[in-house]
Amino acid sequence: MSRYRVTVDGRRYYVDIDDPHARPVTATVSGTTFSVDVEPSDSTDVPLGDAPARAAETRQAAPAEAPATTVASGDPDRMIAPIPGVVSSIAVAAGQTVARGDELITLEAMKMMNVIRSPRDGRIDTVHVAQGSRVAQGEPLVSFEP
Amino acid sequence: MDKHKLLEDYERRAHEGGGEARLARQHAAGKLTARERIDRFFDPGTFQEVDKLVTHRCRDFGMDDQVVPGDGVVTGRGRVEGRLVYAFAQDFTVFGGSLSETNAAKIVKIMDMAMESGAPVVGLNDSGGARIQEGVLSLGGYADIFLRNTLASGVVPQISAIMGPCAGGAVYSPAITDFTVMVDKTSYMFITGPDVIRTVTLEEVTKEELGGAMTHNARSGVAHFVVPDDEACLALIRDLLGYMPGNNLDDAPRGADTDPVDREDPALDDLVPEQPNQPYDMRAVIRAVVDDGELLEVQEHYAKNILVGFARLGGQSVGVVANQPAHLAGVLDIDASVKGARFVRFCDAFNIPLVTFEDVPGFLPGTRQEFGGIIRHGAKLLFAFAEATVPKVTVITRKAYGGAYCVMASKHIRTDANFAWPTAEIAVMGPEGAVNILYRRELEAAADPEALRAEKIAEFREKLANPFVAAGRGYIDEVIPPRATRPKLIAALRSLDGKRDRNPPKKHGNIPL
Repeated sequence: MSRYRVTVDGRRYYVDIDDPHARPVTATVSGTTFSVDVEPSDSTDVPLGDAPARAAETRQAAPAEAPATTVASGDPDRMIAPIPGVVSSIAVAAGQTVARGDELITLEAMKMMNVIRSPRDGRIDTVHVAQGSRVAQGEPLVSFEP
Repeated sequence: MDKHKLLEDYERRAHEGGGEARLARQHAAGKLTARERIDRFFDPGTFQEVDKLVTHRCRDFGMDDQVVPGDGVVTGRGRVEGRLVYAFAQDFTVFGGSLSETNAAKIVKIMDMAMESGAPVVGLNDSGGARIQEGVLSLGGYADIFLRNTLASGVVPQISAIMGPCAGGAVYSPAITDFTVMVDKTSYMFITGPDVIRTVTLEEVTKEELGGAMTHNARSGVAHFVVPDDEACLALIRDLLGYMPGNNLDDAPRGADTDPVDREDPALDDLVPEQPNQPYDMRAVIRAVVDDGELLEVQEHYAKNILVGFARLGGQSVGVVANQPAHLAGVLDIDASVKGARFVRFCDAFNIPLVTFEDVPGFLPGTRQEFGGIIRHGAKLLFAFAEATVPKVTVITRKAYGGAYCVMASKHIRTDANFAWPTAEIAVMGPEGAVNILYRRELEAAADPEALRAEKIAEFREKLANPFVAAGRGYIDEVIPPRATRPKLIAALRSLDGKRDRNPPKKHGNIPL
């Protein structure tokens, strides 16, 4: 993750960009994630990481998915339950390829439908829970192929 | 030698630090040198250096041949947006930035000066640790700094930047200061490094995993900000200082109005989902309400179920504390309580008004939380809010259940203005739980328990899951249309300008640590 400080019309914004070379670029401004199509302003492709303001021309910005509930379990290959609850739906199956931010599981906890989203790109190795499963905090939900 | 020439020679040696090769190595590692950091941090031309010619007094281990004026730390004062700030920058090119008796004395000296003048202290840390050749003199130097950090706590803001290694006892100076900023990939903090850990506990861990910027920002909660490089680090600290007064006797900064104070946002009226089990992003509420949608989030990667940070309302610097229903339902757990409590206490210490946005289902149940001491950790947040005498304003957007209602800056703990949106639900527990307890016998005996349950839940929701019972008691001062939140908050804060409140005289309270 890199953070850029951008001033537009005298207002300061902090923009977090995961990978400036990805297309589209995923950029987060004040907590809202945007998927931005980028085209070079002239024929020379200046890497975004070197000159964000000049090289990038925003064509369209669409707000991405609702906020993600991701959890640092310490093990990047395993997604654990961040909160005790009941699995209300499962959006993925073993073998499926997912992108960062994709919905994995909805966990009903504290009377809220908490959408658990993928912390990274990858392929699902195992889904450890079934619909209706009761899970404790820290219990594995999904494993990624290493 | 000509005296003027002699001075020039001293100055040149002080600026050379550890010499060209080491300065180049510092750059190759993606880091700025101590002097470059100082230059970029302060307003141009305002830095006044102190103790540039101080040298160490060690005569053992061949140290008498290696004397660099300044002794590995650049100290002094300057201006940040025109305001006085003291700073020190450890110079990794001189003895690895290691702390000596004399270089600690330089840091202590500017800390004492900052306390006298009521100005913030910023520490730019980049040090290999204690200067081993000096033994206990170096340790004494650390302790002298720790004492100043402790005495200055709550008197002048203290900010630590970790811009290189910071290991062993050295970590306790940043730990005591108010905010710690870590530069991604070039900074590390740990009590003992990977090698010692391998020997003692047989654990394998990399430096980055153990004490890198993301570890301390997302997992341990030791750091408050992660920045991509030195430039961003210095820029962030400048911005952060803009929200704080120079000391505990000054008012929090108030700038010019940059955003109309009577601006309403109709989008807020539809922001809370109709289904109470659907999350929404509390950041959207905050952004719609504060000046220019600008929120400087503190610890944004840690305990995301609570959101804390600095913003401005009608130009007035405020501290924002908010439950985040989009993460873990916005529940209060151990980490969230501690994160919130520390931020509230900082704001209270430095006269920064507190604005609370509340949508909290309660405290998180479970053995992990109970065994982890949620009782005493949750009590920290309660203590912090109750003890705070700064202007306090609360908006309940949706849920305010159980003990969490009391904790989140409720009327009962001296909050000055309590607002609720019509969507607010204020009760001891949610309708489902309440009905199961209140009507257990009836439900057991009923021919169609589900129908009875649904009926009773609807009845409970209608009677109690609303803001009007609390408003009828005066626990909520006003139920407001969501769109009017910004004008209402600003009007409330402005009427609290002259607020004077104090706690009973005491040595200090006993917050449940």
